[in-house]
Amino acid sequence: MHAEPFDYRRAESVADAIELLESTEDGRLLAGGQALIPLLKKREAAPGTVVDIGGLDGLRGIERTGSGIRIGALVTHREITDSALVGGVVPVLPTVVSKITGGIQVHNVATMGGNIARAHPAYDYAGALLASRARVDIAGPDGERTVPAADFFRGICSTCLGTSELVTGVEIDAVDGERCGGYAKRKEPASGGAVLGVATDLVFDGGDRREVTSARLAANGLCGSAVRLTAAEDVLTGSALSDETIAAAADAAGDTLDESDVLDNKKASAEYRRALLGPYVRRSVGKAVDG
Amino acid sequence: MATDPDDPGIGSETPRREDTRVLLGESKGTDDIELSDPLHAQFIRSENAHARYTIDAADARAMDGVVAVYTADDIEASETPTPRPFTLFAAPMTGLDYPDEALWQRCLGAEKAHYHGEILGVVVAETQRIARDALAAVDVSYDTLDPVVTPQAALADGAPAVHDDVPDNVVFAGGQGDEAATADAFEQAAYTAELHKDPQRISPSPLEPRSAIGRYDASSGQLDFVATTQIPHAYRRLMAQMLSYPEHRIDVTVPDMGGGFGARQHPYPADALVGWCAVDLEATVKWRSTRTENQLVENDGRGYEGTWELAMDETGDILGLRADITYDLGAWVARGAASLAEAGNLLMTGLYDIPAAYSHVTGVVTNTARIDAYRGVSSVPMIMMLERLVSKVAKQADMDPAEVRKRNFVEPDQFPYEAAGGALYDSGDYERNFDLGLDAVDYEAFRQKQARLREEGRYLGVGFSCWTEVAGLGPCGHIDVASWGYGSVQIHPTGEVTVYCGGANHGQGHETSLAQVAADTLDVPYDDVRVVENSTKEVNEGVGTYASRTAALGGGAVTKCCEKVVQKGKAVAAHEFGVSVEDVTYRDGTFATVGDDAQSLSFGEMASKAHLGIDIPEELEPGLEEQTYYDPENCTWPFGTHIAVVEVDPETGEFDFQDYVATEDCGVQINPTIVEGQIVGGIAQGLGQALYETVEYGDDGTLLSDTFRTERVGSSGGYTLPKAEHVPDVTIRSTETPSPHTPHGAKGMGESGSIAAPGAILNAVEDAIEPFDPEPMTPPITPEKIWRAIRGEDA
Repeated sequence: MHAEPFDYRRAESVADAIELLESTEDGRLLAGGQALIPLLKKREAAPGTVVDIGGLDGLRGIERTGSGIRIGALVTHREITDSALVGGVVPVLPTVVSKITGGIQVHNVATMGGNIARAHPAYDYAGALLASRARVDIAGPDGERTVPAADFFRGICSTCLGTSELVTGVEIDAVDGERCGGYAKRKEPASGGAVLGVATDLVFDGGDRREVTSARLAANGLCGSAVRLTAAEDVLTGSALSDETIAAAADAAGDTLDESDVLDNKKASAEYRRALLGPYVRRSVGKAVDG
Repeated sequence: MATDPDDPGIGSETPRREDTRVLLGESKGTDDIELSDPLHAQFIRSENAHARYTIDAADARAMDGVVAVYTADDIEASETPTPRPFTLFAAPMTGLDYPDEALWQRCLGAEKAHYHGEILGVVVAETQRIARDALAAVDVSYDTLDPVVTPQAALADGAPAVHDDVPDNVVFAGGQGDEAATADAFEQAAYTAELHKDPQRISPSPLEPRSAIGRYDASSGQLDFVATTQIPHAYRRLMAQMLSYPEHRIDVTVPDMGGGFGARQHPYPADALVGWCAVDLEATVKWRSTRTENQLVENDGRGYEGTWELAMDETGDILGLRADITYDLGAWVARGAASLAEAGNLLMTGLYDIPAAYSHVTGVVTNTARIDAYRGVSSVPMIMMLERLVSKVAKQADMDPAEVRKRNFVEPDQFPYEAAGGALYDSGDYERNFDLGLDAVDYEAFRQKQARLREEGRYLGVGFSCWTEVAGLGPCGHIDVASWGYGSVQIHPTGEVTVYCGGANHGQGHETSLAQVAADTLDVPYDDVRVVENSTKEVNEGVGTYASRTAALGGGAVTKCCEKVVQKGKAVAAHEFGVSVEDVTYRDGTFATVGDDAQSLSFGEMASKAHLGIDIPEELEPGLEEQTYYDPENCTWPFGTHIAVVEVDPETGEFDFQDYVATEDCGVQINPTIVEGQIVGGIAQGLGQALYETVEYGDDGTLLSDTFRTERVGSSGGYTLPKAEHVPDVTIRSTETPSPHTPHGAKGMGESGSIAAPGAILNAVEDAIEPFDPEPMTPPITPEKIWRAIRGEDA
């Protein structure tokens, strides 16, 4: 298939990108193209203008900040999984990103910003960002703002981004103590997306790894956008980790869920997705602990 | 064997010659063929499953770069003869003796559209891009009619007719076997088991979507095709018939296409229309489809639905098998559809000595794309259902499913064995082959482990699937088309060899295996042999490659040619030596005398003499070239057993393979590495049948499963092909029971995996979750289905 005709503009700067989006009625951003190009080819998207931000070096790079790290919007999946810095500060992130489908070719090109802006429920990044308390940096015609990840994702393929706004980066704070991360993903065999993915971000008091000072769990693929599993978190936080506490957390995991929010489709019914939650929480926590 | 014992011959695990180009991405498909400025065709395809329609192509015709837009009326009005419909094979046993012309597929849905995707017209333009844009500018108005999308709907009272001339939608109906004797068997049975769970409709999905190039040269009157087909010579013949064009002025070439799997052993309307446009426009016209278009119109496979039953006595002897089947043909009957039903019935009793069997098949048209051969064909449902029933009835009788199988196998001294369905099995040693599999999975130890782990809340299962297939499809297909194997061999005066074969290599490794056969039979170095195939230009005749026939029929023809060459060589040598032919031996590439004056002549020296033609027996012509149309006495019957061992997680329904063993017997193996590749490839497709794939049509007859991956949230639109990560490691063991019917003893090996794997996997999963007393499941058995079965739901 061929795309519908469109104007192609290459942004020179973030401000330029914003202005291009403002001045064209139906502009779409192009970063790694892994979400957009298939849509263009199949004519499921037909923007009048494609604004290519791939040349914006200011959106690249992973750097230390006072409180943790900042990941630029154009950072690729490969850069995340290769980064010792990210692995050291927030191990759940490279663990999750390594499970994104597509193999080496996709990982070398697909970007964090593109992934989260697309906000597809079967995508994997969102759970990791919720679990790690990430904040999303946004730039737009009204200036810059930062929102917690939980406020960024608004439903199926929906975010809080205005029509002329773009993600510039994500900030994640470091924490004291020993931090580990795990991701258990039930992969949809055709697309490689998550029928259900549970991301676990655990912090221990150190040393013997017995007491959990902080437990954050999030599930993607379950609902329109990623959700925190606060009931499971409550069981684990402050506990001494054992098979029993993990099992209890797994059992409680869906307690705060609104059942009507659980996705129901031919890939998996809502009932089944819900039934997977407990086992996948258990696997996810287990992977975090086992490293 | 060749001069050097290490030189590749029959039995060598020679790396394939094809692999270098195929694995490095250097193979060329039809779409890759370089042409200078061809025109591009794209098809106006019906968006509705059942509708009358009108086409307004004015806007499209007016576009820059659009050369022509043809509707049915335009084609009719043109001086170029209108394409004729496709003929059908007769299949007497199922009652399809004189196929009604109303069922012969037209190239365009002239009076109405019969399925989503049926061709309504053709756009031809200067570039592919313009052709596609012109398609969008064609205005088609539909007057939709009620479709029938399933066989049940087609058979219901008052159902709309897919074809006005076939008001009840039934194309054929007939039975094979002995109905009365089978009824008696069921009367006497101590145990009977019944299943109404069928293999689902799936899509063969070759690598290159359908494509064709038609090249018409007005000055010579030559019409050449390059196309994704398995049957170059038959394709030539069919194009000649359909286009009313002289056959001897048509040539067909087949580049690499990444599989055909049976979907490409028939012609399609698109191919005929490409040829028609080329002639009408006096041009080169190229068409290549997208994956979506390919999923829409390339033949699907399976389409069987029905009830299968098995009867067993109290000692464990199987008394009878019965099946009542509805066969969804799609909107148009593909050429061989009825004969496929008959072929499946022939071997419905599998490897067992079942005295009575009866299978009745009703072929029904629906408003969907054609269904016809797909790797394994009707053997897939027949063997899958038989093997599920054997395990089911064994469980009912509280008998070991392995023991029940062993008890009922046909014995070695019963060959040639006439099965109750009509097949004449050539050779086999089923129990020995089966024991090899049991040994490979350590069966007894497994059952103990299974019992122990169940107490720990872990669920392992083992599943068997014993299979046979009709391979080397030659004379026994009950179809009235040519079915021999064609080969010719030319010996160059240097002693090098060119082998010509009438098949079409599309992934089977013929360039390698047929060279091994020739090198072995001629006793010449493997590197001196070149194989030519896939072309009517270069190979005079042929039938094609499908039904696992080339090893037996192509290899058989090549073997006979080489034997004739050696015979002639002996005569030339005898003349040279001054002895009689009986005193000449040929060994290690050398003709020699036996006796005191040990004279010798190398193969190359002999070839040179023969070519020169001066010093040879008077009664012989010069030259050294032989040709064979090989027509064996019978088809061949490879066989074997697949055993899957799995562990199921009852919380999620997910499962892992612990083991997968395939014990195979395809007679003499020309190249064990190629055999292994065929087995594993077939298993991957059988895996798809068991676990992943379904062709899905909506209630209105729209094809929903038209793409391999989808991110459309909430849609079922994806067609789930298994990926490399899904295929288990396979342990392969072999026995070799040569075919008595082929000169080299090879049987054919293409389809075992797709026939055997579904039953092995389904039986293994159901064995694992047996403690939950589940209802039998319908494939594809997704983890959610398994989870529901564990919970007592009907999956």
